[in-house]
Amino acid sequence: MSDTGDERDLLAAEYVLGVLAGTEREEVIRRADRDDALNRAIGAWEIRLAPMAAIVPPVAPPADLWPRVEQSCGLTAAPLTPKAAPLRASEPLGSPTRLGRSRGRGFWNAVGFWRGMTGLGFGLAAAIAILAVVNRPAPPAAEIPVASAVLAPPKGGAPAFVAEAAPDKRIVLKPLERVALAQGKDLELWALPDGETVPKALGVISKVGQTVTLPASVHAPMQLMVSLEQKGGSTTGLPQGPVLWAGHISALD
Amino acid sequence: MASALTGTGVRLASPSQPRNMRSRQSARHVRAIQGCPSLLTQRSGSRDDSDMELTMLLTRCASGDRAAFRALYDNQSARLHGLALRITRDPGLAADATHDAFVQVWNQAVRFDPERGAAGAWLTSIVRYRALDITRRRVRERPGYEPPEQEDDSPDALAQLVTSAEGAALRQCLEELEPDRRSLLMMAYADGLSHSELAEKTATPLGTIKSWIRRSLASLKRCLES
Repeated sequence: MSDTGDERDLLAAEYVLGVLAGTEREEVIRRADRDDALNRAIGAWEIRLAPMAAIVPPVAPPADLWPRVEQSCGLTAAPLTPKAAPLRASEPLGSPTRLGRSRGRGFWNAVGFWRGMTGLGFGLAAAIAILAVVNRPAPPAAEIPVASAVLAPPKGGAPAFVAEAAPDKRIVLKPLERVALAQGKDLELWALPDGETVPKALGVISKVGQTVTLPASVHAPMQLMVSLEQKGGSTTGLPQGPVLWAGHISALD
Repeated sequence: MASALTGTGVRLASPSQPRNMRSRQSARHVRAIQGCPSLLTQRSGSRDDSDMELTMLLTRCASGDRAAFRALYDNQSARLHGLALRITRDPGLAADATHDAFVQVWNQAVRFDPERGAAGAWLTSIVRYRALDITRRRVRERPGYEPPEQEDDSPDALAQLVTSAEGAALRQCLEELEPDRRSLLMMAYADGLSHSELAEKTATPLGTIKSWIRRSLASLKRCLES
């Protein structure tokens, strides 16, 4: 193995071991996006070191954890919680229940999905607040985003992309985490303007981020969604794979 | 990019892992299926069965099978929560990490490649990265926050590794390291300590820690491949 290969392999090992902190750790995550060899080295070290996890004794999680997981995944059959219900009622999302029935399964299998969307509200507000802070110092005037959203799994979990919209209808998508994509798959971006029920395809996007321009027919406020599709994107004009991440963009003007 | 947000990322195990890595699958976590917590400490010696079972459950999760998700939770939650608790050293943060990990598993099971296998290692990676992110963000957001001290491993901690063929090989190679180097690797992996935390804990210069760890990792790899 070359020196570079050795160096890369050790970096992967340090990352998996967990000794890298802060920017060093984030740099590895970013680099692994572009560097397949690093990505593979990380995967190999994950497997190599995993047996060490056996030295840690199992501890049963609290009994209320499963209901929480169920709730976050939109799996609970229970009625909407009081916390979620008013929010859902106030969301101008068309008639998701009807949609859910009409499509049957997948991301439109909708109660969980749409409930997840409502839950995103609070998180979004918080995340946008954080963005507002960390976006300082201000970029040049032409690039000032007028609205932004974090795209997170509809059923809860860590956000993966941030979308920043500019007045000229450009949307800049940047990954927040390292996005792994299986071979033969692509990510496709969709816009679902509030009040509408059929998402509009915005095209296949790169896992390392991309700038897209909204077609004239698409207006904020809207949901932005990223679905997992076969290579080349959906062939039907509707998401065929699951929606991995979604977020809400408020008005652009 | 916003450092406050990048910390939330959880790296997924690579989907493009070569198939030959299957030989290193870890299998110590497979138990009898039904979710009886008392069975969770059992370890199966049959790695193929165990990893195949986890792989099967993940594949079913990817297709939206809730019963499979529940079975996976019953089977793995104590193991993963143990890891999260050890790294976060805080019951609330650990529950958050375990919660997030399972939500991520459900949402992203489609991204697990059954051909690659190593389902247990995949799950381990997800919860460890999540616990590391949560713990380090807490430290960043609360200057002066000190997680409670961790008890040191019992001397026979290494013995836990022999429950699978991979574990036995790893143990053998760890035992070839100097005891203090070996203990650094174990503290880093199990407790989630960074270079600088290890330096502080062991009162050793940072540069020395970094170089010891690099050399130990390189020896470990050579040993495992020999």
